Amino acid sequence: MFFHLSLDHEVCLHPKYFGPNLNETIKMKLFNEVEGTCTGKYGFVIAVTTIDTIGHGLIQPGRGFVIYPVRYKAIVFRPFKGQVVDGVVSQVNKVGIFCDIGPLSCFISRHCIPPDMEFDPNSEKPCYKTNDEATVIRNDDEIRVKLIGTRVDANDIFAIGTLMDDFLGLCPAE
Amino acid sequence: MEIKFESNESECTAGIKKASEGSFVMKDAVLLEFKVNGSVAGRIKTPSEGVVTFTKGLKIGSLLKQGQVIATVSECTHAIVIKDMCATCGKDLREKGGRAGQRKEQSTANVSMIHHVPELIVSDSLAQELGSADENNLITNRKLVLLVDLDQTIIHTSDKPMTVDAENHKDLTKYNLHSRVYTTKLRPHTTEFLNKMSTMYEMHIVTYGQRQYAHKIAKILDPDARLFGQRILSRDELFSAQHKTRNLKALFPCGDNFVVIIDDRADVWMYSDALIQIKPYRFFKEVGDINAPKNSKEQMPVQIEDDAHEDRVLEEIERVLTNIHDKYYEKYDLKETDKLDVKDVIKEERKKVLDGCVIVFSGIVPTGEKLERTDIYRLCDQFGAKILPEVTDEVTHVVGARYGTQKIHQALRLGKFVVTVQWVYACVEKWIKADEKLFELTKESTPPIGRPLGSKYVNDLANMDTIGKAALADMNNEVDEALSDEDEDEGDDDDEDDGRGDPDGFDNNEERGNEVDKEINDDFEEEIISQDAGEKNEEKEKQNNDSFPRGQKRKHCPEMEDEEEKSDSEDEDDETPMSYKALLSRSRKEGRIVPENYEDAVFDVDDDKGHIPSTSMNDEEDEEREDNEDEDVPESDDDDEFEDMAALIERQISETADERDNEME
Repeated sequence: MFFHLSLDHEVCLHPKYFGPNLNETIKMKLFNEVEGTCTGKYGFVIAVTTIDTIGHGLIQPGRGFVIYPVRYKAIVFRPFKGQVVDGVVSQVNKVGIFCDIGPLSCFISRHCIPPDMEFDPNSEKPCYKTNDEATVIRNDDEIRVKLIGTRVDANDIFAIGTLMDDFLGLCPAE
Repeated sequence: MEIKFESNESECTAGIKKASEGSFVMKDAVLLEFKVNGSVAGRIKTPSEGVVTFTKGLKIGSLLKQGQVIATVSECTHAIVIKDMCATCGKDLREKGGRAGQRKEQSTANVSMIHHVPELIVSDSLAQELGSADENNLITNRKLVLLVDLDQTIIHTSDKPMTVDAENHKDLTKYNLHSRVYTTKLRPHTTEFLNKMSTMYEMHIVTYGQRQYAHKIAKILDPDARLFGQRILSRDELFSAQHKTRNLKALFPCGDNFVVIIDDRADVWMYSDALIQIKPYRFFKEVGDINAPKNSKEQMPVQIEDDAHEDRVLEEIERVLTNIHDKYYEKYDLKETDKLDVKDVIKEERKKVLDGCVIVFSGIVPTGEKLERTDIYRLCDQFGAKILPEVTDEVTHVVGARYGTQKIHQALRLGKFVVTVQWVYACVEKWIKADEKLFELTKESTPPIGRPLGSKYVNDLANMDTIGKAALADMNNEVDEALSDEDEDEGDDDDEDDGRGDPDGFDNNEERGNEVDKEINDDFEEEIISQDAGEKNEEKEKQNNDSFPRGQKRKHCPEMEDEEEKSDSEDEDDETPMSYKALLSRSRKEGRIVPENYEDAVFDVDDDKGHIPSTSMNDEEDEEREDNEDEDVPESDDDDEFEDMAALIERQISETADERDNEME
């Protein structure tokens, strides 16, 4: 799920940036350091929307570096168990399917793939397909997945999903 | 819990299964549709959640009777586990707050089946099931499995910086990895070889390279992922640091009956029968193991092994592998019942190579060593030759090291082939009985160098790579330096001594103002080593030595100091302040020269200590030593001693540096 959250971050700046563009530099550095990262608590930081406050910098004794506390708002993506999401298949093998849901990678085991779909190792790209080849899931296909579990680490999230429910599986091509 | 068919209607047939075998279902999920007269009449639901196992033989259209058990729903056995989560039921198996691998619940999964996802593990029974499906697939495609090693088998990689002439070397690829530049050369014929093999073999990469490296190489060899696909096993996924064999069980749970291996090393496969050992490929000179430490950072043109372009090994191996594949399926078609092992086919084919040869060795097996224990015996035996201890009528070949032994004369008298060891090597490399005429042993023949399937003997030494030339030179420098300093410490009357008690040392320097820059450098370094010249300024001055005339520099003008400080702070920006060692090496790079009393200094030490370790050296080296001793003693000095000295001095320097740091703080 996506959230718009107010978050804090500390930007550590070298003294050479102390000049007319100080604020710009802090912003740039914040974007670089924060966007695309993942925390177990809040999930993936997708984009910073606004910067609310840039606090007073504190010079680090003995180093000359300055730490600015920054409060900003960002869109975060935090997956939850039971959530239904769309992903792109990144790998197909005999044990299951790996897919990417944006920054989140997800594994769908063969037990969670509908029984009418079977693994075919011989086609040009390995795939799961029904006997009549009406549906074929291979690399780079879009699929709709229900997450049945998430593994939340300090700075990474991994999910497992299933295709065994109504309206899950291959997304019809537009 | 058993799920029974409860409907009392007659003529019921099974419809579509709504859950797959082994899958996890929630309460009230539909398991099966059933039909009456071809139209869906109802659904069978599960009263509880769990993993479904259908009764065997239940298919679409099979007749259902009342009370018949359709399926059982049981607790999840966690047959597929990834990152300590069951991929079937979604349960978190890790203890709360526990680390990876700390499970609170037992799982049956323990086989890592997917090459590059070691954290994905499946249960034994599922692995068997998947493995047998793989085998059936191989048989229907009439393929075998080929495990391919990368380094020195089909490619050679160098991490030495070099300039690549793109026109002359089209199959050289240069790329960045881990912020280093690597250059990879494909063995001649590699692309054709892989393409041909992919029609007969399912190919896997098995390498001791790191994961990124392995995938990078795979991308070069196989940009469309048609040949290897995702079947890449790298160091990160190998279970053992010494052997590749252990992963076989996980990759091929039903046994390695289909597996053929090509590698340049036999030991990593524990001399498996499935291994076809091939001659290591070397393209870049003096690059053995790319993970060994390197010292030289200069850009050099590519240095190529002289015989790198004449490498025909892959063409030979292609023939051998094609033959094995054909023979295997020939046999398979004849007797389909037995489980045919490709290892037996390989053994058989290998035996054919020297079949009928009866070999006697002369001057090859060292006296006192058992004939049966030698490598050459093992090889000849593997390739089907019979080995006898003495020349008899039966003998066909005599393999000799040098001309003139009794056995060779005897063989010549009887009209047998007298060949060099290279003949055996040639047979082994090509899997063909080589032409004896090319390897005839004559008076002019040189004693054998090299070993079977090894590249040149010299290369093996280069492979050790512990002390490179540059490192040795470095060490020598260090020792020279140390020795010259020591000399000064001992004899204070030396004219090089410039009053180290004086923290600035300027007066002395000015006196010698007309001396060359290099010597000044040298001077400063000595000051630093002798640990009184502790001020940062001096270090900086030394760095500026080249750009300023001496006299000017000594004046200590304030603007310059400013400048220096600035540059210093920039240094500190991304590095820690320079240590003494770093400083030392830098000053050495800047070209310090050997002090005038160099030879004396070294001689002194050599006379004092140089002879002591010689007693512990083995005879051969001792001889060499004695030869050299009279002329140029310093050059022939023992490496160990140099190393010891260097270590000692380094320790001293670092100690003083630590002290100094403490003081400064």
